[in-house]
Amino acid sequence: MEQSGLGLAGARAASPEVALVRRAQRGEEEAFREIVARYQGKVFSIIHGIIRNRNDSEDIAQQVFTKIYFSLGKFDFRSALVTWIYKITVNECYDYLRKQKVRKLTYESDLGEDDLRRIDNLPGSNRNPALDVGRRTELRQLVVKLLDKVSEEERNLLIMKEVEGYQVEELARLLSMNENTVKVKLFRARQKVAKAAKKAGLLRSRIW
Amino acid sequence: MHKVVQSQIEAYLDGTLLPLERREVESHLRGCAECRREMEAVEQTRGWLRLLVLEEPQAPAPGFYARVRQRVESEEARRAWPFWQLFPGPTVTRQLAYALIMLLVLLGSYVFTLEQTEPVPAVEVMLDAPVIRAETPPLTSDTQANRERVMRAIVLPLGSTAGD
Repeated sequence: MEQSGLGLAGARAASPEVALVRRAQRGEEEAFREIVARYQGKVFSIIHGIIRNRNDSEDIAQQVFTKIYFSLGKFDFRSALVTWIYKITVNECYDYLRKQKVRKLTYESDLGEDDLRRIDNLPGSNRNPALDVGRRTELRQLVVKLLDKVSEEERNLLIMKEVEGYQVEELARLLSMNENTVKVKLFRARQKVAKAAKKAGLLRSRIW
Repeated sequence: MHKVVQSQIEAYLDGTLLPLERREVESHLRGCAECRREMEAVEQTRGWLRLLVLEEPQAPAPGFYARVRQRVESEEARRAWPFWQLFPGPTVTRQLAYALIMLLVLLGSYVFTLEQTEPVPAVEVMLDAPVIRAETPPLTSDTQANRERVMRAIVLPLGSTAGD
């Protein structure tokens, strides 16, 4: 059940961020410069987390802020600016990857029994010493591919929760959603990713 | 997955359940193979997602705003020429598009020239026109000579400079 977006947007109306966006929407160059300064690190980090290539990250980050510049007029304050920027950033990454196509990702057919065992034993941490750099890169590409199997909203939610570390309450506030709605959406997104992993042969146990 | 686990799954994964709630979930998981399997799958996929977490935060090289501004300006220029929206992409793509258009124009004009110099339909049409027939000397078997006579009959009365 969705909370009234207007109520939360109303609560946000007096925030300095809203004032900044409104100035940028009126065409104030200085306000846009401030938005870039404030979010460039976050945008660059999200992109780098997915793409892992500095040159490409720079190019995509420029494209993200160009998009922000041209679509800022359409931003309606129903979600927080940071969520809107996240959405644009993650979408740009996936558009970029789809265009690239050269990034052939590894599925079961390319994985031996040892590889599957290593993936199966992967704990909930990104600092698993058992994984060398090459394997980590390969798995990362696989995760990016798995995330392509869910909707844009689900992908953004999962990235904000698991990669950026937002809590459910924060996500609810940023997205103007009820906490239960966030939980249900997250659960469905997790189910879909697990199903995609199962289909790719990465989860051998029967699920759902 | 049963509701007792599903409703608590986020807090369970985050480790923010109260001890009593946690015991309730764990007790259900021990007795329910289906929920246990699903929870394992969720935990695994969660571990993979965390591979996207950066070891250190990243930032663009200095001068990023200037580069963004430059990109915005070229995008503004592109939007001012919507024709180029048909050819999104780097400059090379546009240059190729340019070359293709030029090639098409050249080919078009070549075909047009060929059509104009095609003799047969011109002679047939002219021969059907009564006025021309009156001023045209009798036809001979020499096609080229016929064509010249016809052309003279049409072009010269119009005051053209076509003396050739």
